[in-house]
Amino acid sequence: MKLILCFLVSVLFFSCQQSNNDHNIYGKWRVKFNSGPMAEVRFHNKGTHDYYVDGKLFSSGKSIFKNDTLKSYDPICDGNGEYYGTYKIDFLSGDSIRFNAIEDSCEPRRFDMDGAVLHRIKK
Amino acid sequence: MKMYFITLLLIAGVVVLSNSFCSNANALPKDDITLGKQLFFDTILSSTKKISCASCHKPEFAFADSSVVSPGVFGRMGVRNTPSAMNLNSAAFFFWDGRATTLEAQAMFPITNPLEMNLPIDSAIDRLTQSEFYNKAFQQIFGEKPSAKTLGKALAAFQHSMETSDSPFDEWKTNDNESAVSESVKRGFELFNGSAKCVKCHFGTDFSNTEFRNIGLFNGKNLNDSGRAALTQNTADLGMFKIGPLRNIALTAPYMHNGMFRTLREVIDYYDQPDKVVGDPVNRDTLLSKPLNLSEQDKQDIENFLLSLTSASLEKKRL
Repeated sequence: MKLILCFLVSVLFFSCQQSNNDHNIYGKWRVKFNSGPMAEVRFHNKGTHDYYVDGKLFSSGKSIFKNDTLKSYDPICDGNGEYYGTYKIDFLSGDSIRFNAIEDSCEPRRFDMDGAVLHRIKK
Repeated sequence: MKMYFITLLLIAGVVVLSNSFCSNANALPKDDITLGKQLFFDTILSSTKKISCASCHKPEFAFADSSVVSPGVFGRMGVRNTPSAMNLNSAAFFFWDGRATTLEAQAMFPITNPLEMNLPIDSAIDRLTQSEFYNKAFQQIFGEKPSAKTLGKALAAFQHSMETSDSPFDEWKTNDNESAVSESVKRGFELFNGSAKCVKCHFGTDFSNTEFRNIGLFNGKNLNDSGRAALTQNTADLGMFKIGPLRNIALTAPYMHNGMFRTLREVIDYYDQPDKVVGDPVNRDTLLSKPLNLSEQDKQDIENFLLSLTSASLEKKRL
């Protein structure tokens, strides 16, 4: 009985861990922005992100990812100081996510990101 | 007899070789890019037949010029520094004052400008039509005789092809090669994106943005180029110029619309303390209202970051 219980707890632990792994945004993503271009987005686990267009870096910023929320700072947004826009992330399936703006006063970013669907680029 | 055969063989060889060279020289361009390149380097498009686009947009300087302003026909001097003709695919405007909105339209201006190539477009088209080579080339590539439209298309096609993305910076950021650049370059990029505020204007794939800004190099006196305002007749545009792309910037000195800064360090020093250089600017952007107070190390780091934007293939060709 003890053995079965241990086994079940282990299964539960590993499946939860698997699920957590699925629900992260780190890595490379492809997205079609509302303003037109196809872009590649890279979220790094050190808390930064990079956007690429036509194979060239477009902009770099900082991001804080927690649970299903992303806070994003992009220096190309106007204003002084580090302003972070906040987005809810829908994990649509194992390999795509959608951003929904919760609060973002940076209009160009909101225009591009609100509702944008990102597809994970497999290695 | 032996000597006779050797002589014959030599003559035949010379004939074959010279034919081969001649036919290569006259070979028609295979596409619009090749045709555009040929036109770009051809003096046929200037009134004196002594100036080509490449006379000012020199390949060894990333298709910019090392002079403050470039001489046109009869040594006539313009008033603005020659910008690089490379990495323009993301540009929304061309020329320092943004007078053209497409590369096709842009290509016509220097040809007709009396201070540059000084050739009316009709005359340029007439010359191209009279040229058996160009007439055939345009027919083959565009299916029609040379015209202003197809001339613009060919020159624009060549310029569209001049994109670079093989700098040490690209190797670091795009190809994830951490050892491609020094720690100083990385710090410089952080400053560029942060406290030095460069990114507020210089962002995008070529660090250029698509806007016009007044960085304080207009005072209506000794610095009297009003920039975009001369075109729009809008006083709000006084002293505004197109934000220049930064790729290959190390090769395109001198800097700014009037070429007043000889080195990247002078540019960085200016942005650090603009009032020290121009104390009475008109309509200067508020981004420059306070000194940056960069340290010597900061300045060196930013300069190293800018140097890291030089295309490896361009650098190789220069060596």
